[in-house]
Amino acid sequence: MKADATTGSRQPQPATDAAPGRSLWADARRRLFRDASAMICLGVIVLYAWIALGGVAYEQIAKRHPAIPTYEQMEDPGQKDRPPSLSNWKHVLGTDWYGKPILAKTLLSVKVSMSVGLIANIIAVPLGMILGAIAGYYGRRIDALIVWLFSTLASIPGLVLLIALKYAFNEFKPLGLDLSGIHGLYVALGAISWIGTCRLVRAETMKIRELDYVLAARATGTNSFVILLRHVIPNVLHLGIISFSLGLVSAIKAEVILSYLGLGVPVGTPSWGSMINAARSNLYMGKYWELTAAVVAMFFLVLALNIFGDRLRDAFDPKLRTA
Amino acid sequence: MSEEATILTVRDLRTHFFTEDGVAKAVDGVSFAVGARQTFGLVGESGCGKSVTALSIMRLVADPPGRIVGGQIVLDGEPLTAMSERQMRGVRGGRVAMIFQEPMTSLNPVFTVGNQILEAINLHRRLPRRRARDLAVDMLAQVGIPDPAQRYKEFPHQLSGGMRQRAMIAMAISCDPELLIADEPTTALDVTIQAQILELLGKLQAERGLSILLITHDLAVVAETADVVGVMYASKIAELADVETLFGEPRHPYTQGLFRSLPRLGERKPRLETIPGNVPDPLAFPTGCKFHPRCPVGRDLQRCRTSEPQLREVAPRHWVACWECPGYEQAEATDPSAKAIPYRRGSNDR
Repeated sequence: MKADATTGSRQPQPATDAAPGRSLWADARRRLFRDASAMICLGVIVLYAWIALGGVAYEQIAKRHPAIPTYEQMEDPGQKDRPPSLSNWKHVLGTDWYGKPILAKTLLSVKVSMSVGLIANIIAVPLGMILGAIAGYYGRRIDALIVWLFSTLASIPGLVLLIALKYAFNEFKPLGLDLSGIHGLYVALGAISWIGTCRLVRAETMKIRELDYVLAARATGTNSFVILLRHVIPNVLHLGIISFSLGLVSAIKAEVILSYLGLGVPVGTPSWGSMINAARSNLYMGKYWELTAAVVAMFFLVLALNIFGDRLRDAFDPKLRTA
Repeated sequence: MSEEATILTVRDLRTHFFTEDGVAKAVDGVSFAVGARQTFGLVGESGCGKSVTALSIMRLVADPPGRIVGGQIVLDGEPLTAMSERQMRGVRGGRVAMIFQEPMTSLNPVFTVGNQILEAINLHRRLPRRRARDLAVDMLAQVGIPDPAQRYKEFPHQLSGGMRQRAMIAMAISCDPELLIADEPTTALDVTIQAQILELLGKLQAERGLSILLITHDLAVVAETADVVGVMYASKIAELADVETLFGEPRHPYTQGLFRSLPRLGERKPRLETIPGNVPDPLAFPTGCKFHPRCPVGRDLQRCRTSEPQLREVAPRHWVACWECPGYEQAEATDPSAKAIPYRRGSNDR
């Protein structure tokens, strides 16, 4: 480079090695990683994720090795309703009405919660983003149609819709898929929780559509689909990420409520909702441990997700961005 | 620079906005021609229709509510008004490029500057990856951005306003357009940067044989850069002439008012003169001459209040639309878009 010959003192650098610029994404990531409470919550979430993976691994191993009891085989009529004690690892958190250790039950439930939260949002968030971006960008009839669709869905109370969908899946097999089990829960939750994301993204897209860089892109001859893909979606992507993190909480809570009502996971699958349901009738007898374990486990996961989602939103907040 | 070829002809352009409150005739019968390698300055107050004229040429008027309801736009012999949307996409960015007022928002914040220039190049040219990249870096260098290879990798928020406008210009010229439409390119910048950007546009014009349609409300900018000037008022051109004639002997009372309201160096005035009143609402234009309620000459004249004057060639290559302009009655209503006004600043002095 010629410039280096004159400045001399500067280390000559080939042009291709120049440091890349810092994107707004990198900025947000940096802000997030510097945030202690966000990092603690992320740690908690990661811990839960490992427990969920551990649960999957345990079930696979137990299936193959006769020596290791599967969840069903943990039943022990002789050890019914034992209160928590440190005498035996199985009794650390007590046992349930079938004699199954609450500790195992609580830990295996994480898998259900996490999978419901993740899969429901993997369905809902992209769906909401795509529909929202299309509605906001193209406007007119397409917008009217999508707004009509989500307004109609939103006018029905979520829980009622969920229950209706779950019942429907027991009888009706869309595209030949059996959705009567936990898969039905994923689909039902996914089908109703895209609305919030869709609204957010639609509004933001309507704002972005009017910005000069979209006009500039049109003025360079870019077609509308490419504009949507390159100029609109990347600028609303942060909304998707925030929706996802906060959507996890609602999906996990919805699963617990449905399972509590007996409409969630199939009978015999460990889940915090079914634990609370099972413990309900025993509570008046002073058997608090099953309920407590489920509630505490859920509390920390939901709290961590909530705080993390909040901090994530702060990290992406354009008002906090420094030029 | 012998023969003046016409690059862009806008003939009787009418762009109307169909709003709930009625039809806003934002552009209503605008005609002019831009010569090859010429800078045509379109001046006027905010809301007079100059930006809509620019967007109409690009066929980028938001529809609904806006629509080009009449007139013809011809680029180098080809009518843009008759083109399909697909053909138009080839023209935009390829043959006609545009730069905007707000360099702060004209670049997408999530992509690097280089990435965005590359996108423009790839839309109109088939180039191998490496060549396209080198071209983009070269473009940045040509618009006077220091350390272009570094800037190529940076994001818009890391660049200053002036740098961003330069990057926008780099993007605009990367596909070698014949015509550059600059919509208030310097309005959002401070004066020193303004001068630099104008100088850059002048340099690029000389090097690349670019024609420029410069849209601005700033008479100083026009005086500095334009060869030919059209003064717009309330959706129409009020006066059209080469820059020397227009600044030397403005004939329309509106143009004269604009000059009077400029501060002059060394002149002591307690207050700057203004043109009384406001720009009329395009939904409710006054009858007759649209300028008559504000006009010092024709405010109370019957003819000005009832019938609207059209552009007439009051002197060779000097069009004015005013009943009271000397010589207007005898002048002929020739078509100002028939041929570009052959004037080039500097060259005529030599």
